Amino acid sequence: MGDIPLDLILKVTLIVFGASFGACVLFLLAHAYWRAALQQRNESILRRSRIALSAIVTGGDAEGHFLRVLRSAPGSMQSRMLVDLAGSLTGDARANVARVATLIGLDKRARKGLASRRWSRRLHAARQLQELQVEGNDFLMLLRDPNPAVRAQAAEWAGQYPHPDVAAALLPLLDDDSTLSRYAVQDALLRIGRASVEPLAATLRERNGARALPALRVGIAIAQPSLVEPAVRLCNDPMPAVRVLAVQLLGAVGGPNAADALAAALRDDAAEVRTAAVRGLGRIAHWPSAPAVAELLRDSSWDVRHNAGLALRRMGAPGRLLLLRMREDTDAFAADMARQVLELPRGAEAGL
Amino acid sequence: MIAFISFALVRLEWAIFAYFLFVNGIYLVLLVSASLEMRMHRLLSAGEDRTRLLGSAMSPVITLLAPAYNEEATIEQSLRALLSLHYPNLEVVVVNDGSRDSTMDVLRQHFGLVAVHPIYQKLIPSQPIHTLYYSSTCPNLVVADKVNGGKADALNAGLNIATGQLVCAIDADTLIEPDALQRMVRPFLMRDDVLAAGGTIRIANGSDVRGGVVVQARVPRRAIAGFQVVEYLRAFLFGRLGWNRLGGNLIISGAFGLFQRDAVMAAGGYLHETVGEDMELVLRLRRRGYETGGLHRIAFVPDPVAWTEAPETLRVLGRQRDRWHRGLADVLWRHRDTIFNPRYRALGLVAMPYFVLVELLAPVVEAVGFIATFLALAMGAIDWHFALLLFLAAYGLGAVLTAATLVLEAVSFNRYSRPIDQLRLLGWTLVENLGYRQLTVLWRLQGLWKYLRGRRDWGAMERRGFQTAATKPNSSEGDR
Repeated sequence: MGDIPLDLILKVTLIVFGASFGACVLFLLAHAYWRAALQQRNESILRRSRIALSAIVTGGDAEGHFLRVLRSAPGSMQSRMLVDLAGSLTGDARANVARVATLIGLDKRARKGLASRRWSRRLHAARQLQELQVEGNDFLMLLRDPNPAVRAQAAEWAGQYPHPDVAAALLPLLDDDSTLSRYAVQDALLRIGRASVEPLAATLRERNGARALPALRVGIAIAQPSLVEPAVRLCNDPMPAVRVLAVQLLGAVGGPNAADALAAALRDDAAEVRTAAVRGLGRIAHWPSAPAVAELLRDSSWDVRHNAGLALRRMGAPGRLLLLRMREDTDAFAADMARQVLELPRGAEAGL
Repeated sequence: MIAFISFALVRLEWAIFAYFLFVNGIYLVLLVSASLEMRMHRLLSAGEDRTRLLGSAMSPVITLLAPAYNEEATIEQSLRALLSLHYPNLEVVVVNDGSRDSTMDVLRQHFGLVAVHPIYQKLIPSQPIHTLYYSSTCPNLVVADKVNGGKADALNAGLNIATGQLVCAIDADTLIEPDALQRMVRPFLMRDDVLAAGGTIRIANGSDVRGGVVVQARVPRRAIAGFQVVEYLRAFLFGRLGWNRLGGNLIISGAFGLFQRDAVMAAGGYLHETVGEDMELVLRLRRRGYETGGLHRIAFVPDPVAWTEAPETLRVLGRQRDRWHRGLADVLWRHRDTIFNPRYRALGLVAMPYFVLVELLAPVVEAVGFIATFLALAMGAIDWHFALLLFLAAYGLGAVLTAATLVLEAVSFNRYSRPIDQLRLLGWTLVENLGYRQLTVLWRLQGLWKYLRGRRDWGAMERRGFQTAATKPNSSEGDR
């Protein structure tokens, strides 16, 4: 083997491997026993703290004894207990938990975390404050956080406050670079519900193309009449994806203006827009459009034909009559689709 | 002549030594990468309320595709477990792949199925569907009864019916944790370019399973299952997680993976003619993403867990490993033009060469190394110092890296929380190198040989069942 000092290499290798493996073994065992010991130690503290928390929340701590017990618990345990409890409460009881958090200084510590330079601490603090529903609008500041996970968390937190101003503060984040932030904002607007309708309608009025897409998605889920007018405008957007969502929004809201726009969309060049239009008309069971929808059983797109058939079924007697007639249509595809749709069991079109 | 052979053997031994150092060096890089990924994952998910954001009505619709073949004994319980997963927008499509037992009768009886004329667009070829059923009791359940065509065919039929933006392919005998989908959908919400995501598969043998849920994870006492627990931890916790950061993930387990449906449809669905259809699909999707400028990121998420039952006999395990290696060889051969092709970036320049050099050829190098060491020792070409050094490079470093993986598991998830389980894991880590690993080399060589001879079948798989010791013959028809 030449001049290579194999013996030495072997010894060094053995020592390094042995030491590394030994370190892993020691760590694993120490970790397992440490966790077991910690669990055992924390059990009694946890029991006492739970009793204390229950007494404070229900107003049975006149002498402040239980508050002292709760204060003596480790910070992570205080936080976990309060967050767990808050998650299963509403109304006054939950407000009481927030009050306890203030009394033991948990909210102060969390607010300090919001100012941390480390994004993970800001994220954790935002989660804590949101769970505890502590008073304040710290989330507004976090909506401009440089970290997307923190911004998303702030948006989620904002979703707890159903106010038009909060919705207005959230709407610019629909253009956020981060997918997660955009998703969280959409979800928050949905949770805010009616309070977000007017700011959302205003946003839809001024947006075109891809920028309108996230707002339209929220609009579809909220489905309020004041969104119809901006949606009708967006039915003429050059981007088919925007027209699809605008048409879906009209189908979700309904009403005479929406029905007219949906009927017009049946003649759209893009098959996916026609599909959305027939689905929308079916959804609002707009029977006056039944003949126009029946025409689309002859469409070149399978999706359009399929959804036109299902839409006719939802339109009641007029739609059913047209489907029966279409069974004899000269267009074999239309006749086949009509027959198949008629064979569906009752309620199969419910998911339309 | 003998002098020449000795000289050649010594050179070969050094080359093999260098190979093992190279392989373990890559593993070390993966371990570091996995640790960083795990840290990031923990920071992002600590204190997260999944029920709110990930349970939102805005979350994408997921279609679970569950192919079933002769599953009469387990289908009801498995399906109830799937229907009770915690996810707001869930559709479950069960594809009965021409079962010869009473699977369909069980489904009809327990789920109030109503037959309808199947209206769906056959965008991907598959065996015909006789009947499509909607459930009168579970509005999000669809059952397709089709002509037998194997697992890939059943999945393709399910893809044609699915309506979700994301599809999750599962094995009928996999236990998915109730919140696993909420965790698995995370990468799709965090990035726009995610094509597919995979979760962790763990071994359920020996664990406490109640009502289709693993309530206490335990390390099996039986050696064969125990070795596999260690193997799976290594494969998922540092293999796939490590590749996340390096862009080299090529495998999403067929037992639990989430895909963008449109991308799978556009790529033509699962391929029938391979035993490695999971890996083949991922590879095809990724290369298509690079070719068309579309999505190409594969994410591995460590915390959604699906539990599976590992083979407990050498015969069945051998067949499984043989099949896996044939599948690997077949997939790498089919996509050989991506290797070192800069057009495919991380896929062509890193992942594919790694899979060929390390995953595919490792058993060949290991077997050659064994024989050469034995010969060289017998001929006196090397002394025992060198032989031991070679052994340490091959197995010692591997054992250290596995132990480091166990540390990673303990500090991150700690699913095997009892000290006795930690000791067992360490024991299996040490012992797997003395016989078991050599057996896997033999099985993989066998698979490679069979592949070269043109064998493409799956072979039968037998399972003991999660709770009972009764043997359930799983399948023999099609390519399950």
